[in-house]
Amino acid sequence: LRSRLDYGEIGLKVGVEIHLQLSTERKLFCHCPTALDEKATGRFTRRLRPTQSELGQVDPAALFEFEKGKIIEYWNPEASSCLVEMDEEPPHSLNPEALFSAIRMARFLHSYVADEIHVMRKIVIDGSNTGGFQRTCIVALGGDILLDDGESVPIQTVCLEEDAARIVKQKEGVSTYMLDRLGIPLIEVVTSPAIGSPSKAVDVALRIGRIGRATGYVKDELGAIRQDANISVGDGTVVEVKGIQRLSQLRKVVEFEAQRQVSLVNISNELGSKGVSEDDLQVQPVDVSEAYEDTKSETLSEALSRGDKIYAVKLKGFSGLLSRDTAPGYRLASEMVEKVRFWTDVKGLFHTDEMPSQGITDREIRRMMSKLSASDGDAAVFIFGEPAEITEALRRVLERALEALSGVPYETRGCREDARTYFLRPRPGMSRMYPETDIPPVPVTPELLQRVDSVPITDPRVEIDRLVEMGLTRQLAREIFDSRHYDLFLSLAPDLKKVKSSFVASSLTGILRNLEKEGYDVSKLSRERIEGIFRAVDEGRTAKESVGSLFEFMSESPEKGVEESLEALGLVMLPRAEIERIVEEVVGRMNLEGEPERVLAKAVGQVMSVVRGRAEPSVVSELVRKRLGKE
Amino acid sequence: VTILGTGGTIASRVDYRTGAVKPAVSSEELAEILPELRELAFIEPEVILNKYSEHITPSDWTTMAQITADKIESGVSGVVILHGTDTLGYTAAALSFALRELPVPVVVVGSQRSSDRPSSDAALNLISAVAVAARAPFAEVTVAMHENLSDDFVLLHRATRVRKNHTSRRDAFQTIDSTPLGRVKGGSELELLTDDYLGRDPARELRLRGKFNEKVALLKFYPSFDPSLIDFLVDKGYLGFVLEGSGLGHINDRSYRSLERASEKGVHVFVTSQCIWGRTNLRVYDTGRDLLRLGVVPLENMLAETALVKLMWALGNFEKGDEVVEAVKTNIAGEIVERSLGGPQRGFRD
Repeated sequence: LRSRLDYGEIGLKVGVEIHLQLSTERKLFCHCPTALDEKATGRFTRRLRPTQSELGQVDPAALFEFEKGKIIEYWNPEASSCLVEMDEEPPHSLNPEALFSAIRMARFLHSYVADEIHVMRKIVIDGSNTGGFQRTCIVALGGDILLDDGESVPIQTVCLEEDAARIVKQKEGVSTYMLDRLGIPLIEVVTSPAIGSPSKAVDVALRIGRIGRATGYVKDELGAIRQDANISVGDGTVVEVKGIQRLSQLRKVVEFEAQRQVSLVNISNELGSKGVSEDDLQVQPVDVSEAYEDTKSETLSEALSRGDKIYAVKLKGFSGLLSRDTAPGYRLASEMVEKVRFWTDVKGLFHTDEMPSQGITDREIRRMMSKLSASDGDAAVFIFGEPAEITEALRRVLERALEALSGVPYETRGCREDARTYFLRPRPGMSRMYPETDIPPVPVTPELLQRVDSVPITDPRVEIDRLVEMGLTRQLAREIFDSRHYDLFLSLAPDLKKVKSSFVASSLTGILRNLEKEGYDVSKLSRERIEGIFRAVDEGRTAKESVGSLFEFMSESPEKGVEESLEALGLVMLPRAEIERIVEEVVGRMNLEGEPERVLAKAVGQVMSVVRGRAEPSVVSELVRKRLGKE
Repeated sequence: VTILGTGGTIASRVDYRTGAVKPAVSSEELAEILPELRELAFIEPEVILNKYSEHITPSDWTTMAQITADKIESGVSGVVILHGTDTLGYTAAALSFALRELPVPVVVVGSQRSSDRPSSDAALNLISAVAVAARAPFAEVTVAMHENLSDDFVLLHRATRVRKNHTSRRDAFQTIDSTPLGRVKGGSELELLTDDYLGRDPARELRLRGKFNEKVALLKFYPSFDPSLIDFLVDKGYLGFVLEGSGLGHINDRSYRSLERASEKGVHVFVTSQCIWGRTNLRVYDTGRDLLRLGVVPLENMLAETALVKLMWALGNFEKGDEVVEAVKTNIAGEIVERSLGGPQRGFRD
């Protein structure tokens, strides 16, 4: 595994798809609000059946899911879903407000807006869409996005689509979804695969996200901006990675996937130079139970004694390749396990690269390998279980081995929390799309374009410049712009007389982020309560230093107001006379010998430790100075 | 089991080039879309019509009744009719009257959500309908549609007591003031909800009474109801009409003269209630007693739509006026329920 890849040399190409959730008054195709609300009032269950597409083809992955007999359970909260989400009523008309935002976005990206918006259905039968399809429409084609470093990346499409239902749990045979998120409008911006490095991919995603936020419609909640990435290296294949929730993950996903593809290309070259051909992998699983008759491996002997069989396949020339790391914490064998789990109920497999281990002896392995007529450079994968099932599982292993001959398989991958990717499903063809016959095409009139152009998006760069003029550092300006408290900041900061904007910005980013990390439920800090805290500081009712404690206290005491909290924390400002009394008391007890500046600093420090949060440091300093002057 | 296609959302496919809806009921296509059917019964599909159900007319009912009778005579275990849902209830009621002494079940089935969407209710409804046609112990015309919003249960409604009560929900069809004959779980297990039915008996001889006379109307009474509408029907040569009265079956006194005139001209006037649930009664209030005097015939708790169909059928199959009235008034296919029970209005335990 190489520690650092030269992305130019390996020919990395990345395209990103950014999904921006909109906070329009209603959902895309019905009149439910776009706020999430999961107080479920009803439940129902469905089975989704693959239908023939226009070309008479059934998506194989979709068919497979259906044949597994999967049941989908839906929870439908009344506050955030109606019969449309339940697929019990035809869709209402396309939300004009959402279309307006998408066109604004498209105009900003110099994208060519379509004359007519045609709503299409994209078949998705994992249950995340009650109808069995997601509604999507192309709003504009082409265009480009200019990055902060002056480079630009071409845009392929700007689409408007409905968000999917949220999965709440997945048990064997039953997937459960919550309908509150289903139907919330998403703007999807797709770039061409012209991005050459992981950090640039992040830059592009950030920039698109910021432009989206500048429309004023993109939600400022966690998970409101999500991304997919299409990633390939020179001799690799375009792999789609879905469900990347955070930008920090995006960079790692691209790094991981680039590494994986380079390793898989190397494996394919090695197999080629060893002369391994497709014919070598056209083999049948073999019953090798005999080789393990008197095994000391508990797992295998238990399996054999309950009547299971052990089947194996020989993988010619694969010795050492199965357990070689292809990316951090990832191997070719991991990919085989993922495929087996996707297509069968078999949970795991054994392979010779990991042997001998788990009580399986070298002798047993040799007996198995001779049954398979395998030689030194070969590997074998073996599985115990019921013959029909393990035969199917081993067939999937062979399928993945065959793919290894040609390099990187064409597939859709998912993204784990640690940014490793995994096999999600085979990649569907274009036949997944067909027209939504329930909604007539929506014309984009010149009048509509004119209205859009009369309220152009302000470039986020210009807004960030404005924040810098308000006294924020550029770093802080970007942070508050990207944060979900940006609206609050904008409405609050210019209004405050004494409190500086940079203090508001750093409190809303730094302090809140730290509290969140420490596990405080900062969602209890409503807009109004946060505003109240800053106003109390601004009006001199408490000191700046109290903000952190107030955030902390009020997020734990959702019923308490600012005044109550200040009292409870003992952070109400002391009257000047009281501070003077404390200064007198503290200074009176002090030894005042020494350098005057040192004495002053020490005295201020001691007084502050008594009155922190209840007096401004500047006032304390002034009174101490005055008191010392008398000496 | 014979499957007769007449059109509608169920088992049809959209041609995306022309936007037209094409029936997909060749046996190969059906078997491909619904592989489960093969395990249930030997299937014989046939397209006899291709219409959205709002375009179906009484002469189409005659055709359907004729072909169904032919198929039954040829010895099938049951007949399934695919139908659009808008007027499915009317057709099902018409078949109940046209196919007398049924030896085997006839199941009319539709779908509320189009079959080109993976979430369609078509598959479960059709599979359940075929299961019923092949194996049910009753020999009546029933309507097979989803019981609720989940893909679990399909109810078998008696055709004369069923009504479409929602524009789009998959459980739109409900049995009014009665009990469905049964429900099918998971597309195969039939549970009977009553033992009051005509049993399957392949030896019984079917009598076909498939004519319908279209000179019949259904009028709804409302506060500003204009009696000249009645005069118009009489002058146009209508042979009878059903009035959906208010409450127990009332029509206002402004209409008395027109009603009297209709009676005098031998036009049959029947009354049902626009309340949908409940029984008419013209003896409780003066208005009702007046209407009875004017020759208006109340139809117990018969559904207005069923009454309309039955009147067309009676006029199509009986010559004399008294025979027509007698036929309409008499319960022949479960259209009048004598005992109205308490409990949920859906009419069966849930």
